[in-house]
Amino acid sequence: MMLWTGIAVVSGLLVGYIWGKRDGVIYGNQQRTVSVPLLLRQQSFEKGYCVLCHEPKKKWIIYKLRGQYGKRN
Amino acid sequence: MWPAMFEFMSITCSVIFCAMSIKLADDFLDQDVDRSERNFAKKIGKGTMLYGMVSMAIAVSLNASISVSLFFASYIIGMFHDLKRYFPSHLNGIQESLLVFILGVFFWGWRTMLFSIFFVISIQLLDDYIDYYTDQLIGQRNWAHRLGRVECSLLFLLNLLAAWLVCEHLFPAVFLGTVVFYSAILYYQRGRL
Repeated sequence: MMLWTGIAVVSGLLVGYIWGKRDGVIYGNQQRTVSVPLLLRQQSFEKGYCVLCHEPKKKWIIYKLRGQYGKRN
Repeated sequence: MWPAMFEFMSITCSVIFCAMSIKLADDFLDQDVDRSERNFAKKIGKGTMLYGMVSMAIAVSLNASISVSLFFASYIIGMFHDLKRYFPSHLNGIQESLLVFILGVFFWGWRTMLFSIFFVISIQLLDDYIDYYTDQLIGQRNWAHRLGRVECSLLFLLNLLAAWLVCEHLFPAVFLGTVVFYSAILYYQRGRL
């Protein structure tokens, strides 16, 4: 009986850990998908150029700024 | 009282000698990958396999059922990395594992064989948990890398408990033999199995 209890407890811990880890990975991925473009955009605005490609510098930023407010020209 | 104690001690000693033979065979097969001084095959040289066979013969003389079933189980677990590879017997890893398992069940019974498999899996998982950083350095992916360290440790515990459940009368002696052998190896190799 003690052994069965031990097996049940360890199995429960294992299943719970795997479940929690999977949930954490999914949540982390969603969080990353949302926050990384915002962070990149913020850093690009602060530095004045695109932090990924470094060019076109000012024009790209101005274009993006206008694009945010729906102005393309 | 004395026969029971003698049986307990014979099982423990048999497990120690069996573990020694498995360790020597493993070191002999891994000597191309593991070139460290801690590899027994490097120290002993060509006679490694012979010493392993002598050790296995002593283990079988002490207790045939547990030593042979543990050896078969180690063979099956060792195949897990090469399940799809074809061996000189013209069988692949899965087929050889199944054949050895059936032979083990035929000779020693399903309970002993199942106990040995659970026990050897647990030892393998513990070994991989301890070797996590060492195997990472040499670029080898073990079960701790594949499953994760916590999962590996929990599975180790689960397999150990399952082995205990399958064969309650064998477990204490086998466990003691394994602890004695691995403590000696850990002391000798300063932390690396």
